[in-house]
Amino acid sequence: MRIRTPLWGTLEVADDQLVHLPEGLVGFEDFHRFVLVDVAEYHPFLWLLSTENPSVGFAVAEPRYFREGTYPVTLSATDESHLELAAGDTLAIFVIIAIDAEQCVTANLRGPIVLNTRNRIAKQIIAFGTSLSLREPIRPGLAAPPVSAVEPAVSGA
Amino acid sequence: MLILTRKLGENIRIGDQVKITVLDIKGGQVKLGIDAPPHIAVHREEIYERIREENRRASNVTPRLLREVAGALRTNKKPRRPREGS
Repeated sequence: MRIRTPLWGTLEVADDQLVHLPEGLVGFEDFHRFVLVDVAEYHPFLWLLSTENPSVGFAVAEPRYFREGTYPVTLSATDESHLELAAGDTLAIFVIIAIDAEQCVTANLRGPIVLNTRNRIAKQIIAFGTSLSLREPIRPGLAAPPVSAVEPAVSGA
Repeated sequence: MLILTRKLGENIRIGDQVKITVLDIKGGQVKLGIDAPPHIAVHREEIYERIREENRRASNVTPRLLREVAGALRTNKKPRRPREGS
């Protein structure tokens, strides 16, 4: 599938980059079709781009950049039915990123996007838990790429 | 909108699976008990409002700003912390 974007020109999009949000995001119920744009210079973030209106997009990331250990997301039976969840399906979880005027990066851990990777159906759910913040700061150090092999010491110098 | 008056301890039934009980009335506050099966999500209205507000805030992030911030993070600059109360 090809989509035209103002920023990246025509993008070739693979099926495993599509995200279908039948209910939209809370407050953005009119947008249902998105693609996950994975551009190296955005890492560790991805850009969730509306294919219905390419000026609408959200920065998302894996929760591990914001929360250590487990992330308690419980799906209701309604959520499972919306995602058409079947045995053997794999879910991916993304958190939506906000950046304030001082460039503080936070993620909304109360309203993650849960994606069924089999059918690419996703939903913004409301996560329970008082420890989950609407504005959780990014964890230090994790955004840096893993250190590559140590430079070999120059012998005989 | 259907409007019902209930006394302390009285219930409202919604369908055959949801029961709402008035547990306490004090000052300007009403404490409600809600019995609902797991497939019915029950949330305070405010959490939707707050998530809507947070989504709106997130929609202000531009690809350009994201690239700038991601670049700064990858060069291992210490992330800025939000100010207290934000």
